[in-house]
Amino acid sequence: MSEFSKTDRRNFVKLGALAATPMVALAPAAAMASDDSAARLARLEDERAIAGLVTGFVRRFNGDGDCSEFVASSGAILIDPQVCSIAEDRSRDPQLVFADDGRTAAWQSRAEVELLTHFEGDSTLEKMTRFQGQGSASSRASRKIEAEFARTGDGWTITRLALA
Amino acid sequence: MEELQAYPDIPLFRYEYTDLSLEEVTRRLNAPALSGPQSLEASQDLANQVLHFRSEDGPDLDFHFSPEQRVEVGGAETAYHALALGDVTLVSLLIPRAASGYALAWDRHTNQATLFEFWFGNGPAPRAREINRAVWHGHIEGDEPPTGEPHHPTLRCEGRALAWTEDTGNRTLEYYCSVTYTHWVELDRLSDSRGYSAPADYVFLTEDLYLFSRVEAEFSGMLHLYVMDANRLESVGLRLGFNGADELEYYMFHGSAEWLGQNARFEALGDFSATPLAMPDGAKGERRIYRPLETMDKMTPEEVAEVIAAGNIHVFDRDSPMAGNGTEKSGAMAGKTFAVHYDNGSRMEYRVTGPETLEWRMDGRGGFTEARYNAWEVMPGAFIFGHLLEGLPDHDCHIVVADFDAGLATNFHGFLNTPYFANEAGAETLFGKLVGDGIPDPGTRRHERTRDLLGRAFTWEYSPGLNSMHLYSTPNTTSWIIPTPSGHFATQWSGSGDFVKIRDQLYFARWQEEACNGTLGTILINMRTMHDAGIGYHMGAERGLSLSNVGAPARHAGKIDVDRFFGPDAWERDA
Repeated sequence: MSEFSKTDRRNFVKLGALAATPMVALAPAAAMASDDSAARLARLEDERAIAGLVTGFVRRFNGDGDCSEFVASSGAILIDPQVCSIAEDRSRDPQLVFADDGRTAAWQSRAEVELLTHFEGDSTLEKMTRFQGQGSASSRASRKIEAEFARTGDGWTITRLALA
Repeated sequence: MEELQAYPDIPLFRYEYTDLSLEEVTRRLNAPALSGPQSLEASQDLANQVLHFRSEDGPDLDFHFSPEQRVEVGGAETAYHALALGDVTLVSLLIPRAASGYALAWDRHTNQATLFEFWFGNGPAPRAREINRAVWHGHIEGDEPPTGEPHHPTLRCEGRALAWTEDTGNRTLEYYCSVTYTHWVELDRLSDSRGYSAPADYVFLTEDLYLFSRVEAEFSGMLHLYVMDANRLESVGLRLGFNGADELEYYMFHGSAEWLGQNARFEALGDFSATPLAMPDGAKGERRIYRPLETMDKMTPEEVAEVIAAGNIHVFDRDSPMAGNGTEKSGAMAGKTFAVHYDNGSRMEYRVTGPETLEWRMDGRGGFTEARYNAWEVMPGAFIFGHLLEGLPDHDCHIVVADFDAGLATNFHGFLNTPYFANEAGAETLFGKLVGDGIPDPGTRRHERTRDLLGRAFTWEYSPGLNSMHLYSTPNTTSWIIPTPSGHFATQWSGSGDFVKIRDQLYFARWQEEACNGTLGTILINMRTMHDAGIGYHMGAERGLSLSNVGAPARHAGKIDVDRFFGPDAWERDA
C-alpha cells in the first residue's frame, strides 16, 4: 500500500496485484429486500454508490493518483499512460446494468481526457521539437469510461475500468 | 581533404571546413580591419560626427568619426564603411587585433538604432570561424529624443521570399520562411541548385525597412547582413567571414530584389510577437542553433551490420509519432500478383499474399522472399507501399507508388552504407511500369519529375504537438521548419529532395536527412484531400533499422514563384 501510494497516475496501472479494499458501505442490500419498494430503494442506493465510486476514482486519479481504495487490483485499470486527467461528461447520463443476481454491474459513460505526450523518440521531428524546448504536448480527446463492479462483503469495488 | 574551395562544388554539408583557431582568425582579420570593408559603392562620409549609441539592456557605445573613413570606438581606432538606404545608414567596422566588430543601423530621421556586435571565438559558437553576434536595440543620443517606433524583432518578414542581385553580381534566393531561421539558395557561387538553412535575425526598423542577418552556421560560419527596403526592393549590406577556402570576405554591397511572393504564416491573427525561442538566461549572443550532426548516430558499415544481424529490425511494428493523424492503411493490394519493370532494366516481381505480407523476387533470381509491407491507397487505384529487401548487403528498401489504373510505378529506392555514414540513407528514384493481369500497359509513358511543388509549402500535423512545414525550395531541396505552440515557425533544416507527379494533384516526394539523423522520408501527397501517406526509412544504433509510417493532414501555405531560376537539369545533384 505504501509503495502504491508513491506512484503517480502514469505508472500505477503497471503495478502488480493489489489487495481488495472496501469501497462503498452498503445500506440494506438488494438481496435483503423484503418487498418491491425496499428493493427499489436498495437499487437506487447501489446506483448511487457505484456513481460515487466512479466519481471518487476520477477525483483521486486527477489528484494524487492513488486509486487503490477504489479498485480490486491494479491490473483492473486499463488507462493509456498518456492520460493525465479525466473530466466526466455530465451532459450525458451514464448507463449502468446490474447482473441478474445483483452481484456485479457494468457501467458506461463519457469523459473528456487530457493526454500528455512526451517526445522521446529519435525521429528528426521529435529531436527538433525537443530542441525548441517542446518536450511534450497535451491534447484533449473524448473517451468512453467502461467499468465493471463487484459487490463484496463490504460494498462495491471496481474490477475493471478502461478508457476506450 | 580535397582542395579547398571558396564555394564548394559538393553539398555544403559534405564539405570539411577548416577548423580555424582563434589566433588564426585574429591574424587574418587584422589588416582588413585597418582598411575597412571593401565596397563597389563609395562610403557615406561621417567625418566629424559623433554617434552616441545607447541601449536599455546592452552596451553604450560612442562612435567618433574622422576623415578618411576612420572611426574611434571603444578606445580603438579603425576603418569603417557606411552605406545608406533611405533614412538608414549602415556602418560596418572591425576592431583591430580583437576579432570583433560592429554593424550599426542608424535611422537618421528618427535616431532609432540597432547595433550588431560581432566576435569570433570564445563561444557560444562551437568553432572560431563561426561568427557570433549579439543584437542591441537602442537609439542615438542627441539634442532631441528619438522619435517613432523603437527597432524590435519582427515576424513581418515570415513567409516572404525575394530574389536578390548584389552589385557584386551574386544572385541569391532568400526564403524568409521562419521567425528565427532563413533558407537561401546561392544561384552563382554554388552550382547545384541546393537550398540551405541558417539562423537569422529579423528586425523591424520601419514599415518599409527591415534589418536581416543570417549566420551560415554548420557551414562556413559566415555572416550575411543587410538592411532591406521591402517597398523599393533594395538593400545595403555586409558580408563578413571566411569562405570555404578560408579567405576572409569583408565587404559591403548594394542589392536589388524581385518580389517572389509570400507563403502563409500561422500565428494567431493579431499576434506580432517575434521571439518564440527566446533564451533570457542565455549567454551573450546565445540562441537556438540546430546542429544536427552533433546528435546524429555515426555508424560504420560493420556497426550497421551488427545491429541488423542482432535482429534489431522494425517494419511497421511500432507506433509512429509521424503518423498519429495518419490515414488507415489499406489491405486492398492483397491477392495481387504483378511485376514492376524499371527503366534501368531491373525487374521486381510481387506476390501480395496478405494485407501486410508479400513475396518479392528481383530480376528472376532465386526464389521469392517474404517481407512485411504496409500500403495506403492515397487516391483510388494509387497506392504507396514499402518493404525491406532482406539479405541485400546495403539493407535496401523499396518504397513504391503504384498506380494500377495507369500501369505506372515509381520507386524511391533507399539504401544504407553510403560513403559518408553507413547508417545514413541514400536514395535513388526509379521509374517503371506495372505488368500484370488487368493492368493497362502504359507503353513508353512514365511518371515524371515535376516542378508543380517547387516553391510550395505545406504544413503537416503529424500528432498533437508534432507539426512541421515543408518548403520545396529548389528542384532538389526539401526543407522542413518546426513551429512553436504559438504558430511561429522556427528551427529549420533541409536536405536533398525529389518530386514526381503521379496524377493531377497527386505527388510523390522525398527528403534525405543527410548529415542529419539519416532518415529517408517519403510521402505521397494528395492535394485534393490535403493529406499524405508515406514511409520513413531509418537506421540508428539503438532503435535499429526501421520502416515506419508517416501521415498527416496538410495546409497549403502557398507557392513562391521561383521556377525561372532553375534550369532544366536542376534536379540533378551529387549528394
